[in-house]
Amino acid sequence: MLFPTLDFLLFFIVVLAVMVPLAVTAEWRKLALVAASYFFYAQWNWHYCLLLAGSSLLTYAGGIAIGAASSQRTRKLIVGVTVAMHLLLLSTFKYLDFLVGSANHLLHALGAGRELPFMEIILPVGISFFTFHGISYLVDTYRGDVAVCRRPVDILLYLSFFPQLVAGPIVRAAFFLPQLARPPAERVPLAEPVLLILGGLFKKVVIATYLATDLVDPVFFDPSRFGTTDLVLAAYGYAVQIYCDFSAYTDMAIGFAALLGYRFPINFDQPYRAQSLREFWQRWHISLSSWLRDYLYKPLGGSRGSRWFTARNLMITMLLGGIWHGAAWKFVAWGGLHGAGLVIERWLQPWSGAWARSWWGRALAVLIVFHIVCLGWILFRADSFDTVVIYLTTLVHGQDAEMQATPFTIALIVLGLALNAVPRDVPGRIAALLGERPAWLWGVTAGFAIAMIDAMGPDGVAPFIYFQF
Amino acid sequence: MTVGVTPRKLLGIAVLGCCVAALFGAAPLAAWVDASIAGGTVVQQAADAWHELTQRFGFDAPYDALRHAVRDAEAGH
Repeated sequence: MLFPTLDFLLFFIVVLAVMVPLAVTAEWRKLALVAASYFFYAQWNWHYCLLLAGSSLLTYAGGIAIGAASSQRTRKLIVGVTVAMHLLLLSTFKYLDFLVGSANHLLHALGAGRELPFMEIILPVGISFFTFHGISYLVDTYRGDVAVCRRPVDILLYLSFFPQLVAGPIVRAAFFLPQLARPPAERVPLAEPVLLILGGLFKKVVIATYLATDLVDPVFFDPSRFGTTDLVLAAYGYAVQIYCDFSAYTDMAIGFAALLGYRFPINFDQPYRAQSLREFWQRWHISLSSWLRDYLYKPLGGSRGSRWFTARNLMITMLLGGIWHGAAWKFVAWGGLHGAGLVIERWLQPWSGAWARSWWGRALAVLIVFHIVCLGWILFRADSFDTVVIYLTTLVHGQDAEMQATPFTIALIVLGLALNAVPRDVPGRIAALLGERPAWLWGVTAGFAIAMIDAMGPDGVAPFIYFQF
Repeated sequence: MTVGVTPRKLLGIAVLGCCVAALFGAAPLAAWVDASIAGGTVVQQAADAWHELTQRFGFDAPYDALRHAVRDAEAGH
């Protein structure tokens, strides 16, 4: 069930209808939201619900055990074991066949006659996200950043809450659980969530979908058929597509959660205006990059050591961040590119003089970072390494070919980049400006806008890119 | 005022929004019913009748005009 569908709209209306009589009873309200979230998840495959419930049970029991442990050593052991179990679950579903495939390649190279059998396990949608939620709770409980949660329904809802279940944002336990402990909000915001949802719909249905079908998919399917201009524009196009796709999902998730009375953290903040890769990761998928920083990079030692020690930690973090996105070497390479970029950037920092602070220095930095990110997106989007090699060699050598890009797709790229430049507080400011309008007018406007966005979009909407992670 | 609304009022607004979307987007609504509700002939007939009704009163005009404009732009016309 995708956000930009009538199925989801009906589902959400039913959830709102159920919430009305439960508005004052917190526990029943949370139970109803858990039931709705499991129903939402079951639309992909009801078997996944068992996995989600198992992960929640492990998280809840782990938290209780950490709270009951008498010594620091026991607490450390419990958090280690429960986090390892979470990672084992994730690895089994996400990486087992990847490891088998890699081992078979190695065996083949060594001349071994036999191959290991593939398990052919289907990747449950959203597993990476709810696993990271579980780990966040356990580690935060161990560190004392969040109190032990003794209400199972809170943990069930924390891991399964449907707006963020399948593609984030990754909401920290310390951010979300206190919201569940409070009584339900008597009034929920309207204008800002509606603007976020409509903006997200437009970005996904119109910009991301047209760019995918009209430019990015055909070019990446067989890059050898296209000229340099198309290959460059398809790389830009994918940069805009993935931004408009993923930030659209996040905007809608934040909007739907707000309409139900819950706050989510922001996940994007004008990523393509970053002047360094470090800044890019402070603006792109913020909930993941800050998660990796706090639960991986810092525990590894962070930057508290020699520059080689810091470089090692950066590389480990980005390589693992890469493989978090998918079980393929291209994601490892993508993480490696960003890791190497971060390391080099750090080493070059002492040599950046006054020119780096001038307007043209900053503009040049934005351009360079954007193009490094686009190079990374080619790795990210291509089906295989072979495709990447063909893409880059064709791009460099150039060839005559009929243009795939049109003024329409170029306009969409420009529009997408312009939307990237919109400050994140703009929906809030517009909402404050229009906040005095009668509530019914928001209903009429939203209904009309939904119909018009559907009119502008192509037939059918592809799943969000981050569902596969 | 829209700074904050009660859950009951939010439900009313959402239902109103759906009605407006169904008024101006009767064509995709009928297509969705056709694709989603297997054998639901009564529902399909109702969706088709609703689509015809909105067409008669011209409510489909903004939807069609915008759709054609974007399709033309996509085709480079």
